[in-house]
Amino acid sequence: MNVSQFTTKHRPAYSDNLCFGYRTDKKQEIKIQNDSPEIQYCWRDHRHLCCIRLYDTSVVLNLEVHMRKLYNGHRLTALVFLVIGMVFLRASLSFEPGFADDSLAMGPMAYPSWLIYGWIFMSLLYFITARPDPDFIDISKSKLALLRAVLIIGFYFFSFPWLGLFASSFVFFVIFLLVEGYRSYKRLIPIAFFSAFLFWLVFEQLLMISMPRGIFIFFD
Amino acid sequence: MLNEILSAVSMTFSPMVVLILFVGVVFGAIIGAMPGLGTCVAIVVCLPFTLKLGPISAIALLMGVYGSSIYGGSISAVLINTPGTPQSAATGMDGYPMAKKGLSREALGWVTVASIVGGLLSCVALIVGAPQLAALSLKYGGPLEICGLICMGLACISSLSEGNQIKGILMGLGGLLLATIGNDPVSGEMRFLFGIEDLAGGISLMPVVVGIFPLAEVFWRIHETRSQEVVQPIRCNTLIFPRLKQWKGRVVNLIRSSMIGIGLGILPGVGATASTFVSYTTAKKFSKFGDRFGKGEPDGLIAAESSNNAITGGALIPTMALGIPGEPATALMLASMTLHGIIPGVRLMVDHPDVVYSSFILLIIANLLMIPAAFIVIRAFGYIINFPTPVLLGLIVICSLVGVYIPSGVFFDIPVALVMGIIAFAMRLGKFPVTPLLIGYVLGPQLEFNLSQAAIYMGDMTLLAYLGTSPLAIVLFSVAGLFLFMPILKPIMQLGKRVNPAG
Repeated sequence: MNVSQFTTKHRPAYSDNLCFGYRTDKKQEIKIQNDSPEIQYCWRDHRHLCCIRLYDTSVVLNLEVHMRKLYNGHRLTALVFLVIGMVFLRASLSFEPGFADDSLAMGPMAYPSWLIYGWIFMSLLYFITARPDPDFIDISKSKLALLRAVLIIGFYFFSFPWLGLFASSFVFFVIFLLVEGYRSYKRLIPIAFFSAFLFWLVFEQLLMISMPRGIFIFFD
Repeated sequence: MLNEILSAVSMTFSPMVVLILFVGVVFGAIIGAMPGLGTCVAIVVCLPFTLKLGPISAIALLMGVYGSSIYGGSISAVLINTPGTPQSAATGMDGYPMAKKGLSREALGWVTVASIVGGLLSCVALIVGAPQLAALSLKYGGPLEICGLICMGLACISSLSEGNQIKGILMGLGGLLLATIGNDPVSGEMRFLFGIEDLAGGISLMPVVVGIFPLAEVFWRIHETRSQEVVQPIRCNTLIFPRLKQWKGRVVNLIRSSMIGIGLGILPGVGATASTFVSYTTAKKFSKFGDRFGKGEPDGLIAAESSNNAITGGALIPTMALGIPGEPATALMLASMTLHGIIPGVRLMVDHPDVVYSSFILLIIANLLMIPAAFIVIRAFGYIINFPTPVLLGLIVICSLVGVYIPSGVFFDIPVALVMGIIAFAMRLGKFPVTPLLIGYVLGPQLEFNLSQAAIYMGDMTLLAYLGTSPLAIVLFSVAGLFLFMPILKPIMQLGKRVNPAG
């Protein structure tokens, strides 16, 4: 049996037996990855993620079945929203007006209070109506890359006042390109240098915008 | 009006302004051609470059980018069957089959002409419509009516959010709530500082915009494409404009689709993508070549392209006349102009009509400059589409940082932008629409200010009695209420059905 022969017609037989009462009439195929020689078939119903992995399909079908219950991320999001609403509500209730003119028809907290009550109401509604999403976006494969990107961009933003535009941009570019898998090492440094130089030239020299000099102020 | 137009022409036609406009058009088309980036990222990325330019030059750059980015998206839709912008999705349905038949140059010719005509017709609507709307607003627009209008716009945008409308409403409320941080626009009292003194002036617009669009896009691309595949576009170095006789039987489609684009562009929240598909299906229904749609029919291209470019002028009508944007791109245009001291709205139309008409003329020229820009972008498309993603993302991050820092010179805005980027990315993962968040944030201060004014005017009257003084406000609030409560009631009714299937 090769990849093309193993079609969706074959799958229910395995899924019925191996995916713990999974009902084929409700299944929804969402992803088929053909990373030869392993073939992975994944699909989701409302509550479960099922995956069948086939090894060495040309000889024997070795099946490995993964199944996990989908957690309801929407409920968690709704709870976070509720907490945000409560924090704002607390701040609005404990607000003590300072110099606001009493003759104003609306106090400084009237309008925000309406918004907060609306927000809390909608969050509750969202919580009540939330259902597990069979097509949720899975970031398990990219979470490390995302974390790295956040850290690098955070480092760049933090170093900008200390190193100035040119130096911080150059360092950022080199690290970012390396981490993001840019493998042309001969070009890496020139690209980073040229980009940083271009931004410095345009903003600091041509447009005459005052940028932080950071530690380089001592070299002036 | 003629004097103002002539004055605007003299301000606009300087070699420097036209050159900047052309650069904007080419830049917009290039960014538009890169799948996933879109108009908003293009505007935000070029924003730092405008900050030291004069107002007219800055508007020229922005109008160039705004006008051409959707067109750029259509080039990739035709040549690689991947729309560069969501608005160009329908273009690929007929453009790519044409290109596969070896008619890529002809397809791009149809796309270019339809885009330009749609854009130009929308400019005419803008020149005629915006002053009329502003005049109407001056006549009938008290604080109550403005509140009604803002509420209606927000309700439309939130409730028309794809998928889950509750999410849209939550995001709209989130934007309004975010705008309340800092000082109260009426009394000047500080609110919601949570011990962070830097929040006293509120959260600036640029960190919000930069976080929501380019930074969230950078995170999204890192999540989505861990390895960049080299795309081989259909070879095409130029375009061939359709001959006059080829237009026989297609002009009506061109005008009808443009009108649909303009009309839906004026309405808040509908968006260019929806308008494109409305035009496409309408054209399919009425065209005598309807059975050929989806197989490489020029009428399909005309419908999609004229409509999505006609949106530009249509969407600018409420933005320029009332200062109320109906979509993220126009909200960004409004925000960008505000950074240059040009605050779109009724007062601008009355006090500085020359600036307003200059903007309109610049949009017209931007549409015309798409012809030379098209030749450049199409020739360079093979390089554009395979530009290394890490380099592109790195450049976007640097532009974002500079864009956040330059307007205010405040370091606090930089981490705020990063936090907003992470939040916007998380929202995107949860399929929350970010458009209502931005529009709510932009319109929030206006809404609060007008509500405060309305409350002062109301005096000792009851709310109902005060509302009774303005039938227009009643209509606007009713429409807003209708849009708001429909999506709220829908899931509750569905829940009732699920609990009691027999009933």
